[in-house]
Amino acid sequence: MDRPDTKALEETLEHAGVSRPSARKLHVLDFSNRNKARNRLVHDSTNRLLLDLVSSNDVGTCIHVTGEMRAITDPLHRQVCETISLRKGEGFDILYNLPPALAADVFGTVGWNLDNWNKKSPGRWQERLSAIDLIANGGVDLFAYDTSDLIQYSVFGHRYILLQEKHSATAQSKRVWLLDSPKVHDVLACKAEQILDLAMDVDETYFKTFTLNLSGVAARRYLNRLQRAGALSRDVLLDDRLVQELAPDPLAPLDALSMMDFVQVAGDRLYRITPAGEEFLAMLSLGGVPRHGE
Amino acid sequence: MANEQLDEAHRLLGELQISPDVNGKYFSGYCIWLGASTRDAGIRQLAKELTEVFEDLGAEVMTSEQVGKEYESLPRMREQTKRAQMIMMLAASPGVSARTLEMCFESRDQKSECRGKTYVYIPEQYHDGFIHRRFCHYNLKIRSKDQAQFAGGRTAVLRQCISDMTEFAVNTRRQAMQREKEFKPEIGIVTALPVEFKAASLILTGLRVDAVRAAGGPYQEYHHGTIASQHGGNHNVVVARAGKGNNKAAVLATSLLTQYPSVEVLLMVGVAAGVPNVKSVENHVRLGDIVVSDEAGVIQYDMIKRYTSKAEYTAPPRPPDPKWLTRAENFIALSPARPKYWSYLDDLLKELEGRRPPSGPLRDSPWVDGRTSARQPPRPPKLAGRPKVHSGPIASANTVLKSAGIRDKIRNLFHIKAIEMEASGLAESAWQSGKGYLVIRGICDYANDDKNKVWQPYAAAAAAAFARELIETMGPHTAG
Repeated sequence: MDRPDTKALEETLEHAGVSRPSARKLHVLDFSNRNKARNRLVHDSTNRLLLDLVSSNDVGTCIHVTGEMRAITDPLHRQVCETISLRKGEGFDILYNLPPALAADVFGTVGWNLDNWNKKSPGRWQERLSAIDLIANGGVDLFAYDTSDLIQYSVFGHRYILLQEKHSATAQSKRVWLLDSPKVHDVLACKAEQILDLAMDVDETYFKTFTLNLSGVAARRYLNRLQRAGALSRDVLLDDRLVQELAPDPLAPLDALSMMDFVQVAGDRLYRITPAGEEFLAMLSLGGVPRHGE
Repeated sequence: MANEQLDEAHRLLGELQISPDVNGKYFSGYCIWLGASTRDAGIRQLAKELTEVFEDLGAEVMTSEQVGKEYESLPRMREQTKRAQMIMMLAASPGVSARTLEMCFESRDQKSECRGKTYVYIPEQYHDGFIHRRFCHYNLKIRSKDQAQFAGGRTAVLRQCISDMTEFAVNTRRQAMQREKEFKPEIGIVTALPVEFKAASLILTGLRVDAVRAAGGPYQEYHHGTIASQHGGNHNVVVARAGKGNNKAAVLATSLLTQYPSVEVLLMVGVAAGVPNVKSVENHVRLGDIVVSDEAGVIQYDMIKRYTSKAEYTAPPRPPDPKWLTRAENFIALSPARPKYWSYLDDLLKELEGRRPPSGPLRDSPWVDGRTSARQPPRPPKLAGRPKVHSGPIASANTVLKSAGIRDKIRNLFHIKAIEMEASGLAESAWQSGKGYLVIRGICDYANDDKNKVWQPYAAAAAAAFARELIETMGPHTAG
């Protein structure tokens, strides 16, 4: 690390509540300057370290203090979270920036994440839906708190810290350090636990409800009909015998499909299926119902 | 059972466009917890019909009646409901409603999945009541039906339960399929013979077949699976079979790399002829040994410029992937006294119903020092009946070589340890695609007049077992 990077590390730690003398003694395992590709490599090192710790049953308390929890849109990090959750019986605690006002219902909670993931790194819908599945299946434990003024970091393995310099939500890269220091770990873990006590426990079943809405009878009927008809109004879509009989809230699946960009409403206020919606429908339509675990 | 209820269930499944599995079942492998009042005769009858219908559709159903008083014990109930993929509570009686609330309240603290999989069926007449509001508070999946429907012989609750189970099962399937679609192997294993293909497929966990028939392209069958890394996480691996010869290997390797752009390295795993050298104990390759390509890679010995009086070998160098080469060299150098791949080899031989054929003297032609057979150079006792791993150049050509004279000539020119028929096609394809490769060969003959197939199953298994442990020792890969 260059001198400015060392200074930035000390300042970042100080901002996070760690004293300057403690910051000077720690061991930097990996570092990235403001470079997106280098950032990825440090995250890669962190994931590998986490997997090593999982293997040796030494992963300890895992807490992420983050903004939009974009880390779980990375397949390897999802794999790490799933492995930790399966081995420990509890997932990573994630403190993230979900506004409490939105945390009270399914679409506020899930929609906020989808919006943020889409804005910064619009990518494949499969990655976003897999991230939602991870939460829905209990792979992580979510807590809402205003983290916008906090230094973002992760603590794990009794001594390791992944630390990010203060950055804006729109920043594409930032300085990132992977640190080894039981002392700093303890200080930051303690602070994270204090915030956890103040944070709102997010109901992960919202994410399950969201995914079930996408797979239920109504969503499948809507997508099928839009595929055949091209464009339909909301009223026409909702006026469906099976949907009326079996969908407890016929609007919820339509909203879920819109949020995933599987359907879109144009200026004529008609719904149309999108290419992503076509892909999703093809996936739902393949074969029958599988054996559990297939 | 009331046949009408089962007919109704099948009718709805048809309307929902859900097809059965190969056994004619719809919900095989799913377990449902069904909570219903044991006191109300109508609900008891409805629960009985639901149980029979779901069992007929392939699901296992646990009812509160079956588990009796244990139902009152929350830890016991938690244990039972944990096993169920779906909890259906017919909350038309105060007792079941109270238990549902208690279960949700308790599971909230336990962070259990109970609430995420609990469906509550409640008379719509209770829509404004306290219990209904509490169900909403816990974010349960609430289904309201007319109170008169909570009785035997009625179909509204049954249809709703089938629809909900379908939603749940489709969601499960969607996740499984998404994982399949997300399959991005970083390692491709190419084989030539069926026995090699089988051995290489057997080293995969979660084996799944993916048949690809691209318009205008060749038909290929790819085996998907994972191999756990010793560093944690999994390697995604795809295995395919090319058939014999470098041309087929090149076509298959190119197809594989096109189909799976995420593949970073191709491993050629299978059998080959070994190059014996009785005068050099260290370099002597025996039947059952393993040869891994070294930095010289593959020598295509049939790519030559032929003059009237001589031939010049012109194959361009195609060195293997440096990461895998380093890993293989370190692995060979630091291998413990009893490496894991020995036990993998034993397991594979059981699966392949093969065994290690008896070893014997080297029968070679031209004869060794004028003798028809030569004593094999001694090996350390710890290697008795086990493969020795060699590292060296591997010769490759579209030739079934059965001549010790030509073999030894190539050995003297290139210091090769093995001869085979596919690796140069694979190496060329990998090189042209900017990917890496490594060759791992089990030795099944000596490319001489005595060549036969006796050692093929053992050699194929040895190569696959070694490949498995080598892959296990490689760290996992992060997607960019």
